[in-house]
Parts: sequence; C-alpha cells; structure tokens
Amino acid sequence: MDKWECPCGYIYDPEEGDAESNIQIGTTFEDLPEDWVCPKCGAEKEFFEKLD
Amino acid sequence: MIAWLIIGGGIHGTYLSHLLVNKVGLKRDDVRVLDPHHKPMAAWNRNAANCGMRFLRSPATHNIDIPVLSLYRFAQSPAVNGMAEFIPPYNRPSLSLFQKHCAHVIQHFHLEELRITGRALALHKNNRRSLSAETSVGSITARNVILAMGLGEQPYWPSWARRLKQKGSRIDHVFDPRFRTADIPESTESVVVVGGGISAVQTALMLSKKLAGTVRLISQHGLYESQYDFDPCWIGPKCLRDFYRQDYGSRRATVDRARVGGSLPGEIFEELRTALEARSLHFQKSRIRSAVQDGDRIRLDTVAGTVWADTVVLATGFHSVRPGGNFIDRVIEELGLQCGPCGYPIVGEDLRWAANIFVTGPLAELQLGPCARNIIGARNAGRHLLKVLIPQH
Repeated sequence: MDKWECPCGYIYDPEEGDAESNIQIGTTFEDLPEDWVCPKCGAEKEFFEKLD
Repeated sequence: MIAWLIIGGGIHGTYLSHLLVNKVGLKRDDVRVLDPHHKPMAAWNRNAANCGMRFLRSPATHNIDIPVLSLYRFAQSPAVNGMAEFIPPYNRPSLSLFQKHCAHVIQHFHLEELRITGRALALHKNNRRSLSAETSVGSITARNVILAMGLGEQPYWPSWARRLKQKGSRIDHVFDPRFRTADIPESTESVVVVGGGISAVQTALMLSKKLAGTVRLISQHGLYESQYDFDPCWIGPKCLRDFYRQDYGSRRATVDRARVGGSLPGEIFEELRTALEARSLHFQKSRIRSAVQDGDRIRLDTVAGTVWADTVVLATGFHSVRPGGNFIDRVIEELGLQCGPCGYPIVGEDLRWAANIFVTGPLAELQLGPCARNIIGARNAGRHLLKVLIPQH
C-alpha cells in the first residue's frame, strides 16, 4: 500500500492509519474521507504526494 | 524593463526565481535576482558549514525544486548514495545531499544566469506600473519587486561580546562572513561556545572533536530533545487559521513563542549526551554578565562563576530586528509602507506590501507565521504568489 507525504513532512502510512482521526490501520490514502486533513499541519488531501 | 526583480538570492530568492520561470512560465529575461554574493545561497551554505551541520532540521520535502518530492528522486539517482543520506522518522536529508540537490537544480535550470551580483541601495516608484531599484551596479527597472532578504547579515552580538570585540579580543560569531570555525588552531587550550540552539551545540561538538583542549558550551537555558524547532502545525492551516485572527502585535508574540530555542533533534541530543559523559565537552547553564581581556585570556563572569577562555565563539543566532537594514528603512519611508508594532511589514494574504512590492522570508513573518524564514516558508510564499500570477491555481 502506498505512503503519501504532506508538505509539512508528515507521512500517511496505511499500515499505521491515523488514530487521532479515527482512521483504522489498513485504510489506503484513497479511502481516507475527503474531509481528512494532515494531523500535523492541517493540510488537505490534495496537498499530499505519493512516495515512490 | 523586467517583469520581476527579486532582491535577495538565498534559498527564498533562488526558489522563487525558479518558480517564476519554470512554473509560472515567465521568460527568463523577465526575471532577475539581485544579491551581493557571487553564488546562490552563499550565506546559507557558509553558515551551515561553519556550525558543523550534518543533517537539516527539515524534511526532504522542504527543498528548492518545484516538485515536492524532487530531493527524494534525486537521492535515488545513481550519483547519490540513496536513503543512507536521510535521518528517520521525518526523512531529514544530510547537508551534503541537500547541497548537491540545490546545486543540481540551480545548474539544471540555469538559475545562476538569472542573477545580478550587486546590492540594493534604494527603491523608487516611477509610476503605477514600475519601480526602479538603485543598486551598487546601476539602476534596474522592474514591474514587480520581491523583497527576499534574510537575517543572514545580522548575527546577534550580546553587548558584553561587542565590547570585547572592540578591544581586539579573540571573539567571533559563527555566522560572521569573515570567520571560519576551521581556522581555530588545534592547539587552542580552551574555547567557550556561547548559545543555546542547535547551531551552538553543533559548533561545540565540532570543536570538541577537533581541539585537544577544553570546549565549554554556555547557554542561558537548558537543552531538550525535539524533532522540530517549531510545531509543524504552523506550516498549514491547523495553527495559521487562528494566527490570522490575531492583531499584528499579537502575531509577533505568537511567532516568538513558537520559535523558542534550545530544542535539539534526537541524533544531536544523543551526541551531546555522549560528549558530556566522555567529558570531551562541558556544558554550563548560565548567563554571561560581563567579559574582559585579562592578559592572554578572556575572563567571562557568569551568574554561576568565572570561566576562562583563549577564544570565544558566539553561536547566538541572528538579531531578529527587521532584515534589510538601511535599504528597507528607506523603502518604507519613501513609499510610505505599513509596518506592525515590531517594525515588520504588514502585507496582504498574497504577501503584497504595496501595489507591486511583495515580501518573503522573515519579512513575511506577520503573514506566513513562525515558519516564514525556513525553507518551507519559501514554498508557502510561492503558493501565495502563484495565486496572484495564476489565479486559477
């Protein structure tokens, strides 16, 4: 599953999910709710870039 | 007449020149960067080397190329030793990798050709559509000007240190352009490094490895471990939303609070602890009250007692008064530009200070917040400028 990086440096890793926002482990970036934002800086999904 | 003149060719000026040409699509002849140094980012590179920086504090996404992942991709190229040059968990690149990447971007996009070596002296408004920059190499007429000066030319000297320097003592600032840490003789018996931030600790660690004598670090406050020098919430809307609701006096206080010094990333904190345990470096939490030359040595009177040194190295950061010195003072006076109580520009959301004058870096601190002077501050400034230049962006 792909990891995605926020401009602030936070990396969304599906294997970790995002407990702070009630995102379960295993949730792909594409399946994150549209209103999900970076837990570190608040940037919206559109600012994230897929890590190679 | 050119379309855009950027005054200041550090990380901010270099990145924005790249953005204007290679993202906005302006003609190369329409963009110029005026800077007193002969090479892009000269002051930043010198300061980083002088304080012994090995890894950046910021993640790899904070770089001077347009694609946010450019530095990662560069690291995977055959010429570079890949992921070994990053420190987890936030993938902070080594200084060497970051500099190689910057050099690659500058060379690949011929950014040096956009530069004019010279110093800005004054800025005059010709009419509603153009400005003239009076510089040490002649006059430059531009439709728009971006003021991208950093704090690099104003290292902070405490008053006791200034007095000591005036009397000819061996005291220097790690960010003074004439000073090279490497020039301190290996035979020096005792060096005191003064400062409480990451630069001071890196400088002290570097000297403790090089010198046979005693190296002592004196800081007014304790040191603690933290990955960041400011909370990353300041990079995005999470914290900035409330920041924009504050008046300009409060914004200054917020910025100062958010950038509190003394924090060290894990690997440096660990290195410091090891050096202190091995007694190759000594640490004293204290304030220096006064200092005098006493024979061949310098006597520092601190709150905790007297300390003697052959050489004192200041790593006390930068004076946080508005950058740009007399040049900016004159611009404000001549063009009647608005400033907050702290003297920093009051600018719009688009970083516009006047009809065709924009700011970035520390000059944009009352708008971009605590990260304004960092590399990510340049990228954030770029995003705001793109909204002006490419309205659909």
